Amino acid sequence: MIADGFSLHQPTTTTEAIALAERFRGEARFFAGGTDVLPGLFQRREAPKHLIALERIGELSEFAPDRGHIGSMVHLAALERDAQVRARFTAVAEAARRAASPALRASGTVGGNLLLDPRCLFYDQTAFWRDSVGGCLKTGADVCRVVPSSSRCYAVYCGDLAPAFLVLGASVVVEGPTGRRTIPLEDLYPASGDGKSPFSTGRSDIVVAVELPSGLKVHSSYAKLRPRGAPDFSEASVAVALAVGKQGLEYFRVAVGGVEPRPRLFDELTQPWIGRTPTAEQVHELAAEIVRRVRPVANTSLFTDYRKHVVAHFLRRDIHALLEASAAH
Amino acid sequence: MTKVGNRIPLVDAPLKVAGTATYAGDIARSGMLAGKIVRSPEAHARILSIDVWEAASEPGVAAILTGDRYPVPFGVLPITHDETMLAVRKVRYRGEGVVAIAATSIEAAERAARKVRVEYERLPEYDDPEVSAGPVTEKIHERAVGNTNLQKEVQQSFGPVDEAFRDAAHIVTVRGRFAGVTHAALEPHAVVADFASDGRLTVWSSTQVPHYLHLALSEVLGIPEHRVRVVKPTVGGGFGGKGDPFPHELVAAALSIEAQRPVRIVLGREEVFYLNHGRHPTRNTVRIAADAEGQLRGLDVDALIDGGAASSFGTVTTYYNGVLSVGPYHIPAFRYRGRRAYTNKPPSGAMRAHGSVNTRYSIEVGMDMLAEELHVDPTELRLRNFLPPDTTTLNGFRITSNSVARCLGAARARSEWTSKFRALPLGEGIGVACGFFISGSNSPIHFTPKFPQSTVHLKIDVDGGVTVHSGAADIGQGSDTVLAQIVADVLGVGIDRVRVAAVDTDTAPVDLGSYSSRVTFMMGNAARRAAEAMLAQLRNAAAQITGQPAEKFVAAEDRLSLPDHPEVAVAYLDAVHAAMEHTGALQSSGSYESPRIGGDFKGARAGTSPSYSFAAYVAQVKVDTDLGRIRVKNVWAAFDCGRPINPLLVEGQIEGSIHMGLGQLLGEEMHYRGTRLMNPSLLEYRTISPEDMPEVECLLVGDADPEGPFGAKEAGEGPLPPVLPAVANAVYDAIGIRFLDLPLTPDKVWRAIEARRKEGGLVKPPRPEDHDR
Amino acid sequence: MKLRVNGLEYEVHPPPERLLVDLLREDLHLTGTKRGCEDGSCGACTVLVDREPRHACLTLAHMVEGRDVTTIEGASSSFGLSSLQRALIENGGLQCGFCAPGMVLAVEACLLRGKPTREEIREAIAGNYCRCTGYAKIVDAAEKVVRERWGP
Repeated sequence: MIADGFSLHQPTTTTEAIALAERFRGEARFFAGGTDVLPGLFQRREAPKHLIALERIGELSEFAPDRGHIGSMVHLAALERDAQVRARFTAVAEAARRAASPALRASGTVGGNLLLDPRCLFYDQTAFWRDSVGGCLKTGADVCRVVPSSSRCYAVYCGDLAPAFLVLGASVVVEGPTGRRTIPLEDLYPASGDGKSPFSTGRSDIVVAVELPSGLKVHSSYAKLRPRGAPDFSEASVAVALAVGKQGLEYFRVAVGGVEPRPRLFDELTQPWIGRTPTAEQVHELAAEIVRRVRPVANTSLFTDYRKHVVAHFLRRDIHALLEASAAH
Repeated sequence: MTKVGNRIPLVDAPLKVAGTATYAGDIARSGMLAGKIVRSPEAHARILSIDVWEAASEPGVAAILTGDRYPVPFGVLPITHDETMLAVRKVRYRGEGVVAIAATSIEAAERAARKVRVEYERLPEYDDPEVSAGPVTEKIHERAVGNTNLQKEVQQSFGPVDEAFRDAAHIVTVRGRFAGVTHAALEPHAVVADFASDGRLTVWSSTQVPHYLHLALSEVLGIPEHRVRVVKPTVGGGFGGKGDPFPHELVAAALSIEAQRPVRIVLGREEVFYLNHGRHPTRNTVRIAADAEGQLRGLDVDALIDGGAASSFGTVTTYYNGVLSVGPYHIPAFRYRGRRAYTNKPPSGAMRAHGSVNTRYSIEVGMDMLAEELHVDPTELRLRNFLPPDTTTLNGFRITSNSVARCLGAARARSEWTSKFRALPLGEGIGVACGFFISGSNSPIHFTPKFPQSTVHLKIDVDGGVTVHSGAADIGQGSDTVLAQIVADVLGVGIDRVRVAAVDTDTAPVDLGSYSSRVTFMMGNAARRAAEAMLAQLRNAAAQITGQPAEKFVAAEDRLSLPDHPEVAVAYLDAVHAAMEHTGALQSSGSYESPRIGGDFKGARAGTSPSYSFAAYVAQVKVDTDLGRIRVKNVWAAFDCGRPINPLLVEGQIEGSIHMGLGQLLGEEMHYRGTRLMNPSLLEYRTISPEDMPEVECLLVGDADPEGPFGAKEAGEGPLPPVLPAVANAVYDAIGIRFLDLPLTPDKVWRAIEARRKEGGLVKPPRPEDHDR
Repeated sequence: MKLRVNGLEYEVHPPPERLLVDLLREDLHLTGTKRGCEDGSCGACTVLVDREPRHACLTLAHMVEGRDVTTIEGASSSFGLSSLQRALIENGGLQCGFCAPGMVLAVEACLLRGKPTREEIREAIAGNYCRCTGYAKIVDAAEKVVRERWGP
């Protein structure tokens, strides 16, 4: 039940959708599969007066994995099932398969998952619950309930697809009032962002599609920590992509999600390995270094030291496995 | 005898699986309003003022209630009425109802609810039962003991306890810590109340105990009982969570009186968590004394349980935490101190295997530790100490049928225990635990000693259909099916002839409803007697038709015939019609009253039952030592429910109990920070997912119980407690670490593994025969 | 707007904020679709929209305009209960029954995509909460249907 009414708009082009967003600036929000937005409305985390549904914009559902094009309204279920995605972009298919549960994956979209609202034990609660605490940074109060000394929101980015897309070098096509642009996916999650405003896009920007480099030949993986199986959100996730050639690594990227307000690529630590092949010990050290750089806080259900440990474990395990797979290939 | 003992599917399953079974929230009445309860954001506070002026002027609002309108306290136990339908003068937990609104739609009620203004003055909050047990500055309830916030204190001692511990060759001590857990039935509580123009109140509610609700409605609203009618539609799971009369049920009725319209209240999931009445957060200390041969000499149990803000079933829980430890082992000396403290959390209450789970955990882990000290196999230690059948415990429990030793034998054999115990690789393990549980409380809460605990009425009319009226509540466990099986079996008719009427207090004979695993035993006996009384009428008719002696007729396959002369037979329907000739529709009644059992000391009747179920479980696990994840691979669940009336349903109870028990062990937790519940949702309150369920093999081992209907005993709750310690003991076998602080989430397990690695390494515990002697 | 529910066409005029679950339960009186949570974690409201499983509580009514919706009331045919429904009954794959409508449709959605393994059946119902059965008998029932339909 949603007690607050709103107007529903169902534009058929991105231009029309953006114009609506501009017209109702501050009172509108885009609406894709609904699996993240609707619980937000039930819990009154927001109360937009205008919902702009993107479903009827045909372009957004374009799905051409052969040329690396995935429209933002493509459902997670499609990614999970597509043979090409599974073969060429394994991490993406794995990430989709581990998101939520089947019915949610049939509704949930690529764009919605990339822009998943960061989560926190003190935020993903009903209005009654949040009000009884007195709110938090993310809902406009002036204090973080997890790290009281902080002026930045620590809500955790839990989207599954982003780390997988990041290690595969994806870009996103974004359209806004000033036109269309293609940016590297990592630019969607700027370092300056926090759990409250994690994305570089504005309220009138639409993520149109994800584009993966064509010609990419890598092995990739995605691992996710959740307290139990479905439908839990990620409490730490690791994506790895690599390719081994005659001279050692030709491609090597890792990304970590589920521990901080943004998913992070660690190119600065992996790029130096191009042209070489790390030993087991060096992989161990690399994993340790990455874990030293992530800072989860106690706003999910599992201990933070455990979540860091699992990140390291996944990194070691998956890098090893992919090195072997790639070398055997 | 074609129905009893067979795997008969639920009689109401065809409706449920087609979506046409009617649950309380599916009921709509003409002119029905939606009810909404405004809840307290404070955990402990005085109510200074309530302003409903603005809310009342919202469009669509028909009635608004505050606590002072019906301040009559109620509660499931007659001796501890300390709940009110809405808070009166102060609130005692976050989520307690303060104001109720009826409006033309739930949206309108919700909008009005936001306009209610309540001014609170905060009082000291109590979140720690240890603090509540001491002197306090603010009593949560006036009725609490002395200047504390203790709700109940129990002290018991039987046999030479001090001597037992003084002379013991071995003493083990277990200190267990258990988070609270809750029922989390899938159907959120729902109620429809209609106070009609004839002055009669009808309430449809998802309740386990229609007759308690009936009584509470009458007492609180001041309507004579005969003008109150409670109907139980299909109920979407209970597990104890729908066993009390609840505030929202009374509120719906009160709103209907105020608005003169039917009112429906369907709780949201978060509200269900605040309703709670689940298993108590618990700290216990269990000490077991044994002699050098491994014979138990004494047991000393101390339990401090966190009752939250109301009594509910808590006085019983306080007793059960102690008294349900006197089996399945022979205990020659027993001491118990139990304390239940009020805190400012949602009330705790009765949940499946009420009061027995946490003490059982500590005892069974203690038995495992004792076996290790004694250098004996833990199954062997248990075999040495089992109570025999037909005995009396030192606190007066009458034990009749008891196949626990055979249960253990079966679980051991099927699990290949001997080849696995202490012999699996590091990280893999096997563990054992036993248990027992009451088959109905011998002492009814209400109506005693005036009425039988169960009565069943039958009616057969011209169509030959058998209508069954019973006040026992089918909440998904299948009691209607058991009822139909028994009646059909005795009358020798097909089960589809039997129509079990929905529980309706206007027509159903008074009954204690569904809790304490009483239904099969008590209702079953009543049903059998009612059916036998009906059969006597049909036999007489058959005798009149054939001229043969009535008592010689047997009923089977829709006929009454003579076993020695099958050609002498009367069709069922002919017998019915003949019997009806002078009386019209046929009626019969049967009832059950349990025998008087137990001593005459204070609390002597707590835990007494006409019979007990027994269980022995073996579990096998694999612990991921990198990630701390416990994977339960197999459970061999040997269970003595006497002679099962319906093995399909018994298996369902065992598998469901294992799911629920593993949930408490591995992930479920009412997670509080202070008094604040952090996870009031099914997303964050983590039950076991389908992917994490083990393979379960149910081994139904047991002799016919002398007093159970067709030899049956309970199977709804006893299957739960053993699974937690069986898995914990398997984890110890796998990695040599004892876990005494539940739930065993992977992060907690990982920390323990890391600590052990730092201390000198993770190794399997030694085998009994490898100890230096 | 028009939509098809269980093969019948309906014309309805829900307000924008109307959820599919409320449209079904309150406006169309199809109360077989249940509601157990508010966050997509229980699956009691699972229906099929164009043969895909969807949570009716996380779907705006307007989003199914012109679509084909199957609720539990449409899961059986004129021949009676489906083979899956019968298997659930016979195998004890439900107790209180509150999860059954969603469970039936979640499994049907899985069966629509071809022969599943036992593991795939477990995954298919991973978003469907059941507090009674421990899931084993549900998976058994689904496997029975798989055997009937595709052979062992």
